[in-house]
Amino acid sequence: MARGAKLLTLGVLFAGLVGLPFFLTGYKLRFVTWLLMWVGLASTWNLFSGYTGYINFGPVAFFGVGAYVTAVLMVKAGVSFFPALLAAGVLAGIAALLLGVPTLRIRGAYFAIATLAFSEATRSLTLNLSGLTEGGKGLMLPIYNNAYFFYFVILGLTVAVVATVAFIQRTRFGITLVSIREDEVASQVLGVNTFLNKMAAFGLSGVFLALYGGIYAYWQTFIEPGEVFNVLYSVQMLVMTFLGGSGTLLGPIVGAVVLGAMTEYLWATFTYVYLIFVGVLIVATVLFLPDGVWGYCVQTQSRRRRRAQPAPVLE
Amino acid sequence: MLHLENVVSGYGKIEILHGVTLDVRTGEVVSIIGPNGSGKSTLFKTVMGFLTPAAGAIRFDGREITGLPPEEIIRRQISCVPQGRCTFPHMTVKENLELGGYIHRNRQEVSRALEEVFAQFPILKERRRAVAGSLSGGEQQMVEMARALMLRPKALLLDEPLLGLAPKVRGVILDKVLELNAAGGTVLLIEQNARRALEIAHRAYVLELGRIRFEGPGGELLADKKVRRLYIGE
Repeated sequence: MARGAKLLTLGVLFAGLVGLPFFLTGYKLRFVTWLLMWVGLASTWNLFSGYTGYINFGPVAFFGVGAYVTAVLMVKAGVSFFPALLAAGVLAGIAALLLGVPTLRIRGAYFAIATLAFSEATRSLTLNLSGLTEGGKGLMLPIYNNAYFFYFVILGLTVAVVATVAFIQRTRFGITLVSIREDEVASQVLGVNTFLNKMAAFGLSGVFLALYGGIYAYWQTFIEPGEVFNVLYSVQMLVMTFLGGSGTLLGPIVGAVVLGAMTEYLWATFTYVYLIFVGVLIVATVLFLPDGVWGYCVQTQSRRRRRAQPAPVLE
Repeated sequence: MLHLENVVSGYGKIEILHGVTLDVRTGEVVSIIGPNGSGKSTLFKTVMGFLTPAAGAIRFDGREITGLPPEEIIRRQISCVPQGRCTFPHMTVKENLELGGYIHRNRQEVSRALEEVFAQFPILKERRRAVAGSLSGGEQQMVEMARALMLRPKALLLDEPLLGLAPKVRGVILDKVLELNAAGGTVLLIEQNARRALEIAHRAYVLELGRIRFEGPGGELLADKKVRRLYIGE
């Protein structure tokens, strides 16, 4: 696509997203806001795991930490929303770096297990620090009944996340992350400090996840550990990213929209058995489109281009 | 140029190298041969900074590099090709090479290095748009060598570059090593294929159980009865 056409598409899309809430109310607006949050969560997961190939199985830990830091600061210390959210982002970033020091030295399934264990540990900790978090009773936040506010805050954050990923993709940092996924030893041998690069991406993803968690807490007005540290949230980020195509800019967006819309539709139509359909869909994607929906589109496109301009053959 | 003195190294408490001393002078091809488990790869990892020596010193270009992390050692212009297939399989040949110029901050310097490398490896220029994973083993080995040269190194370390290659392709790779050497490059070749490695080396070391067992000019070792009997199998 030409640069002009690309900018025009982006402009129209952005104008559409800004204007959209004024045509929607109630459930529909809530659903679109929810979808935008998942586009952002999947993109954030992709930012670290999609590019480096380190499968983070516990991203919900940072989402939950963000939710709880925001909630505790607002409820117990009377801090207003945005400063509380900022503090949540900073704290989760620090937590991600502290977790990164031991875990980013291990690879494959071991890294996935370590991050999963961390997210379960944070849930347990939140449950048991009842002086601060009220434990299993959950926390009630001040009610702010303005659906437009949450739509625009989440839209803004999601645009920021996607723009960050788009930017990183074009920088040395982005190429470095991909080289770690492709072959970490080769990358080190070329003089890349892979540990620092992984830490930077992991820390950044922690910050974004926490920001979503904080907004989510304020939006829902009630949180409890079982919900904001729900393992299924981690799984959903992962499934959405792989469904769309991990390691690409648009993959997680496509995946989140497809899976989000599909689940909602199937749930409304076949309330009791909808998960069977969702499962079949995921299995079918893995079998027939191993690079995801968007990954498949990119591949067919480049194959067509290659056919149009054959590479020189040798020997 | 590269000097190891009584280097002791290994993994945790397990000591593999029990005091290795060796020298690589500017413009030389030096081979290190030895059987499995003799410590060849440990030596490689120690020089490149992936392992920190427990004792001893490593000097490069007159400066001490003992215990520096890999990225610092690479900045001093030693580059290397590790053992086994090590390309970025889903990237094109050109992208692989460009990543080889990672430490150059300047884009022009990267494209200049790329031109030089393409001149040395014309086959890679023709294959530049191919995905590295689709190339043959020999071509991938060339991508790795070319990628290491993108750093414009003062010395090049090769860890078993002939591993898993067909005899004909081995010849091509060794010819490339000689070509680089003729152009003034210094090469340290770690290889299990003793005969080939000794044939092209100015000097060679035989490593056994973490110690240097023999050393001398390549041709001399190749003619030595003991070396022939133990490592070439006569």
